[in-house]
Amino acid sequence: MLLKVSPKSTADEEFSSHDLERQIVDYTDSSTRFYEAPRDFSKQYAHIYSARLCTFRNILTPLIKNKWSNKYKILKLCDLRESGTSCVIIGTLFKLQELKPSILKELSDQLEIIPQPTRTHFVHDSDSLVLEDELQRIKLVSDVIDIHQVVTGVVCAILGSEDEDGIFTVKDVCWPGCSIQKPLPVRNEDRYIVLMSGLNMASKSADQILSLHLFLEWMSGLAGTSYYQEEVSKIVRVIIAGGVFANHSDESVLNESDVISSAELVDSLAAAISGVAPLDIMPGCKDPNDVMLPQKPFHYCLFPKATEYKSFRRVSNPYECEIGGLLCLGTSGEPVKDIMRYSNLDNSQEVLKKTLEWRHLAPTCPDTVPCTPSVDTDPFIIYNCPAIYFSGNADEFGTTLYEGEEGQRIRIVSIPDFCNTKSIAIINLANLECYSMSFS
Amino acid sequence: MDENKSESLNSIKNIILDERRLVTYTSISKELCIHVNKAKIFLREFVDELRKNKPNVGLSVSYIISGSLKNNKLLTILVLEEELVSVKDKFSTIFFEHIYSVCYGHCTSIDKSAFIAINTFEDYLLCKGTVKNNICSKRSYEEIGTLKFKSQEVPEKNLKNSIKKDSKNSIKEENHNTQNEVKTIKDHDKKTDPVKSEIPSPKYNSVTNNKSLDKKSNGKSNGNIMGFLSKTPNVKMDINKKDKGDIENKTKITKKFDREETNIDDSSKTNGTEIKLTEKKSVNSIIAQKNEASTQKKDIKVEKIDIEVKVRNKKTNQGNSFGKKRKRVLHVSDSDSDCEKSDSLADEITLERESEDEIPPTPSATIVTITPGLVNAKKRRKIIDKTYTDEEGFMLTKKEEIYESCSDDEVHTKENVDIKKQVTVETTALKNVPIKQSKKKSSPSQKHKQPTMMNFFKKVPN
Repeated sequence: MLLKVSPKSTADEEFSSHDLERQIVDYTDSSTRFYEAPRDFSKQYAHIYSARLCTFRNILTPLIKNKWSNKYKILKLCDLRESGTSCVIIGTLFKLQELKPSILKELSDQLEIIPQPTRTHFVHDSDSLVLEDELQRIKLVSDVIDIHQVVTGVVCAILGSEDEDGIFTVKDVCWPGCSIQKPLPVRNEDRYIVLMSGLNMASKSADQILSLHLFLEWMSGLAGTSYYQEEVSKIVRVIIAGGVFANHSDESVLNESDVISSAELVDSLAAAISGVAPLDIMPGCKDPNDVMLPQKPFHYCLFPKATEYKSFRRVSNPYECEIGGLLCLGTSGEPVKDIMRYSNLDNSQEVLKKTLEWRHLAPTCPDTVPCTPSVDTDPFIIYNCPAIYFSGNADEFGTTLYEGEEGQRIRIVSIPDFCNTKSIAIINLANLECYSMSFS
Repeated sequence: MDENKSESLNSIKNIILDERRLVTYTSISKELCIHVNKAKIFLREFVDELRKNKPNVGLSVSYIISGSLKNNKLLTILVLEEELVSVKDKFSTIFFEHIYSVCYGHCTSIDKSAFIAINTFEDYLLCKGTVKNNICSKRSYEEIGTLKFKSQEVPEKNLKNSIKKDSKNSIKEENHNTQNEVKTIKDHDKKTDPVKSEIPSPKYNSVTNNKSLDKKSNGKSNGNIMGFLSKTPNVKMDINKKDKGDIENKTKITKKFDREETNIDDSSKTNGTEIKLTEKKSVNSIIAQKNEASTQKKDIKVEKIDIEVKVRNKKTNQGNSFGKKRKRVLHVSDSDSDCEKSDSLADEITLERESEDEIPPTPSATIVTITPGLVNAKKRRKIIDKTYTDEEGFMLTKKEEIYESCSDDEVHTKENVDIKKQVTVETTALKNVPIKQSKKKSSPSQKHKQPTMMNFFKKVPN
C-alpha cells in the first residue's frame, strides 16, 4: 500500500541509489462514442430526447416486469383513456421552473428598469413536474417523487392513474438504475491511478505552482525513501479531469492572453508528467475547447512537447476507459454542477449517485448544458456500469463506495479543485480504496 | 566512491557557502549528476558536518514530510526546520521525512518563488532516479507526423471529394456536400464547354469552305500562318483582295514577318504563295525553337479568337479595308492541330512584335489607317524617315513626324521646322555615331498608334 511506513533501517539503506521501473497495466480507451459524436447543427435537439426515450424504453421494460410483474399495462400517453385505472407510463421528466433562465424572459427583461439579480440556484416551490413521451405530455402529482431531487431529462417509468382533470397521480416510480457490472478483476498487487482537476494554470500563483512542483517530485519518485519510491512506482496512470487552463471557480471568461501565456507552462507540466507516467488529459468547460458536450480532446498544437511522449493522451470529456480491467467513467464536472443548480442536491456525491440511478451522465443535456445535437443515439447514456465514476472540479474531495441493487461496486470520486485545495485523488485498483493527497 | 562523495560534498559546500545559492536535493542531483537519494544523504551530511565544525555559520534548512493526518487524509508538506517538530505532531503516520533545501543565512518562512525559480518542470526528468517505464518514451518524428496527419483527416466522404477536386485541378475548397462537388464539376465543364462550343461558329464553317477553295487556289496546305489567315472570311477576302489589290500592302505583310526571322525581298510579291512560303519559313523556325502550347492556352486563344472574330465582324460592316482589319495581328485557329500550332506561333510572334514595338495602346477612333485610294480628311500624324548629310558628311537617317491633313502644307512646314530643330539637336549629339539603318529594326511606331502592316512598307531604306 502507498500508506505503508518504511521499516526502520540505516540512513544508507533508507536512501539507496536504485533505478525503479513504473508498473504497467492494460489500458483501453472506450470513449469512441464521445469522439465520434456528430457535429451536424442542422438537426433539432428533439432527436436526442427521442433517442434517449427509445433507449430507456427498452431498458425499463424488463425492469418494470421485475418490479411490478405483469399486473399493469405499459401504455403510451395517447392510450390513456380510463381514469382511475392504474397503468405504467414511460417518459421523460420535465420540470416547469419559474426561475429557469429563458431567452424570452431575457428579451422582455431588457425593457425593465430594475435589473434582475443574477441567480445561481433556480429552484422554486412552485416548480412542477410533467412527463413527456413521443407525442404528449401529462402533469404529474406525487408524494413519491421529490420534485427538487430530480431534473429535466431523466427518463423513468411511473405507476399511477390519470384522474378526471387529466393529472396523473404517481404511486410508484421505477428508475433505470445501474446496468449489470462486469466482474471486477481480482488483483493481488496494489496498482494506483491518480485523479486531479482544476489546475487553473492561467492563474500562475506561486503557491499553486510550488504545489505542482511537489506533486511532480512525488509522482516522479524523487521524494521519499527508497521504500516509498517503490510504492510510488505502482502508480500506473494519471487522469486530469478538466480545468487545466481555468477552473470552474473562476466565473470570469478566460482571455486569449491568459491562455497564450499559460500554454507553455501547461505543456511543460504535461510533458513532465508524461515523462514519468501515462497521462490522460481531459478538457473542461473553461478550457480552450468547444464548450458543447461531448467535448473533443485538446488540439495537439497546445502540447508540442508533451505530444512527443507516447504516454501522453488527449481525451474527450466525458471520458471512458478500461484500466487494468476496471471501467473508469467520468466528466469534468459540468453536468454535476448543472444538476446542483436546478435541484436541491447540493452534494456532488449525491448527484453522482443520482446519475447512476438515472443511468445518465448528463440528463440536463441539452436543456441547460450545451451539447451537440445527436440524431440516432444519446451518447451520455451509461451503457456499461463503471467501477470508478468520477467528476472533476469539485469544491472539495469526496468519495463513496456505491453498491448497486445487483451487487455492483462503484467507487464514486469527486475530484477537488487543485488550485484551491492542492489535493489529488489516489485510487487503489486492487480494492477500490480512495485517498486524497494534498501538497502544501 | 569516497572520492566522489568528497568531491560532491566540496561542490555542495562551494555552492552554499561561497556562491550562497539556495539548493534543493533535486537541483544538487541535476547539477552534480548524482542519484536523488545520494543528494539527500550528502545534504544531510553537509549540514551535520558544518554545524559540528562551524556552529556560528547560519543555515536555513527546510524539510519535506509526508504522512497521513488524523482525519485519514494524506499530506505532503514543506516545513522549516524550526517548525518540524510541531508539524510532525499533526501526523498520525509519517511515511518519509528528509531535507528538501539548504540555504545560507536565516529564513523565517519558505520562499515559494525561490523554490519555483530553482527548477522548472522539465528539470525533474534530468534527475537520476526518476521512476519511468518504456511507455514514457518519446515518439519518432514519423510517428508525430502521422499523429498530426490523423488529426487532420476528414471523414471518408469528404476525403474522396477532395481527391477528386485535386485531380481535376479545380478550386481548392472544403466542400462536404457531394452536390456542391457535382456543381463544381459541372461548372468546370461549363467553363471548358462553351469555349469549345464557340470554336465551330458558322463563320468558321464558311471559312472552312473557303479554305478548300484557298487550297485549290494556292495549292498549299493550311498548316502555316497563311493557313489561318486564309480561314477567316474577312481575312480571306482580304487576301483575295491582296492578290488582286495593292502591292504595298503585301510588301508590308511580308516585311512584318521578315522583321523577325527571314529576309524577304522588298520587291513586291503579289503572289500569295510566296507570302505563305516566307511565312512558313518563319513559322517553321519558330516551331523548331518553341514548344507546343498547352490545351488551356489553346482554349484561351480560342476565346481570344472568338473575340477578335467578333471585333473583325464589326469592322467589316464599316468596310473591308485591309489596313483597318490588320491593325492587330489576327490569329485564327481552326479545328486542325496544325492550325492551332500556327495559331500559337502566331500568338508568340505577335507577342514578340508587341514586345519589340513596346505595345502601343489601342488606336483611338480619330486615327485612321492608311487605305489605298482613300483620303482621310482628318489630321494624322505620320512618321517618316528622312535621310540627310550632316556637317561632317555622315549620312543621318532620322524619324520625323509629319501631319497629313487638308491644310497639310501649312502644318507641314511649321511642324517640319520644329522637327528639324529637334533633329539638329539630335545630330549634334550623335556626330560620331556611325550611321546604319538596321534593316531588322522594327518600325518605330507612331506614338499612340498600333503598328500596322503598312508600317513595313514605309521603312524601305534608300
